[in-house]
Amino acid sequence: MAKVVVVGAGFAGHYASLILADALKGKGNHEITVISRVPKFTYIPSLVWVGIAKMKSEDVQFDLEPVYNKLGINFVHGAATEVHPDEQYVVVEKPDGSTQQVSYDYLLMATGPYLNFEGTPGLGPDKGFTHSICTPPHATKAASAYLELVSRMEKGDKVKIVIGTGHGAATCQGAAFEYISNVHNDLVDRGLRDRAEILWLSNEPALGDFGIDGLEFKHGGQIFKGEEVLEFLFEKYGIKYQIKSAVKKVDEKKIYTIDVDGNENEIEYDFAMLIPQFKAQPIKWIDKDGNDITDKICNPAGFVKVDAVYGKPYDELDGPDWPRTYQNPTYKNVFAAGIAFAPPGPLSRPSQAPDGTPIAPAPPRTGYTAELSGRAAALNIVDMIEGREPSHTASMAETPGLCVASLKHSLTTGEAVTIAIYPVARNRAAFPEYGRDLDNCVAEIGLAGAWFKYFLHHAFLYKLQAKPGWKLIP
Amino acid sequence: MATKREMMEKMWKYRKNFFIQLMRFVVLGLHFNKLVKKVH
Repeated sequence: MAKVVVVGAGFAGHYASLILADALKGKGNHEITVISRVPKFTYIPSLVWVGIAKMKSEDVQFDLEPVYNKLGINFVHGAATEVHPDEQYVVVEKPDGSTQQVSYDYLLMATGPYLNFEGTPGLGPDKGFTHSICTPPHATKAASAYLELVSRMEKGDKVKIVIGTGHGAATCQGAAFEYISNVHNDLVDRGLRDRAEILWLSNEPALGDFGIDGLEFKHGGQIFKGEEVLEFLFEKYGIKYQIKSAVKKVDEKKIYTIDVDGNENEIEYDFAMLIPQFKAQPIKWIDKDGNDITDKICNPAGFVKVDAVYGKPYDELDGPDWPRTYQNPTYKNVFAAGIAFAPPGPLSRPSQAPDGTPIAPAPPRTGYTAELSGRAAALNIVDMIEGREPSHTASMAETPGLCVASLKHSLTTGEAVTIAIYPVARNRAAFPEYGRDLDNCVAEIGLAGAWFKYFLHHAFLYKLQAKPGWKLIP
Repeated sequence: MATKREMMEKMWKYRKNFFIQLMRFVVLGLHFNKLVKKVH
């Protein structure tokens, strides 16, 4: 009998637990336990709609425990605070303040991000002045603030809206892009767009970079860049932009930025939604002698090292350096997936301001990419339980990125950008010219994308609740 | 050959045309399916 513990129940952790339950079903008395800080699964791609009050937070969440009861998975509600890899147990702090030790034979870390609002003074909805759509409570609060702003505009006020990233090393520019587009279109529908000045503020080295070093695609015999599409879209939407910038601090009235050339700017705002830096969840790794070995197991940001090639400079990084099996090199029974694994480096070219402030988008590894890494790690654990070496791979340099970025939420008048890239991380060893197979890359604006986004919302929520036939949905 | 700008204007013009978007939904769906099959 093997004990498998999954820490985290987001895209990577929750899907991995479903895969484990299915793959180990009827193969012995194996025990699967999921530890999660939150007792609900959140379908994060739809939080953008919660943030403009087009959807309620309960529409993007479901309770985990009933799903796990159905599949015979144990559930521990609490935050993992320590891992003892020699003695093979995880320390969990439960909501009532008590602690519990959960022992394992195999461990999958899929903890998701720690939202580092403290990394930028004045950032965030709890202790700062800006909003976020990174969690259901944050998105709900952002929606209330947005509706208050709308009410001011209805009375005749002219306002300034700033949306983008709130730290030089932030990621998830795609979510912010969806939000700024949905806000624009919502204000158009309300007849208020002429009363708002909307600014895209981002750490990206170019428009349309999205933390993945941009994208190219073929259309009508020509090669387009994501940057050209975004410039076109922002022109149509009347959205101004400031890129290559890090937010240094925020106060009640202004956002203070610095860019790669050292230009400092003070941006006045009435409403701001800025994505924070993502760090790893604060989990300590303790060896059998009680020593803190977190630095040995994790990278400086706290993400768990896996089978990637670490330490190469940006210009030397290539597809084969990205992890394939998600196995920790020190403890072979430990895996990490989704946001929790340490990438070998950034996808977008990093830079910094003259004062040393990093302006370097971190690589996004959410949604479908997280699911694929969680699935590979889960199946590799099954391999090891059955006496084989890990054989399943899901390198970001060998798997596609599929993304539908909502611009407006409606089945009749909506629009979205449908994006497919292959692979996510440029792989010049396989595709020398662009690092990607442009015959498989697509970016297209239209109502079809809005249908896709709606369809994916329901398909994923159905699949992840393990409803009948869930395995048929990839 | 149309310029990139002209092509993007064309995409913009037809972005909410129901019949064209229905066709694109099928084409893009098949493309997504092809990419998904590479990893499943």
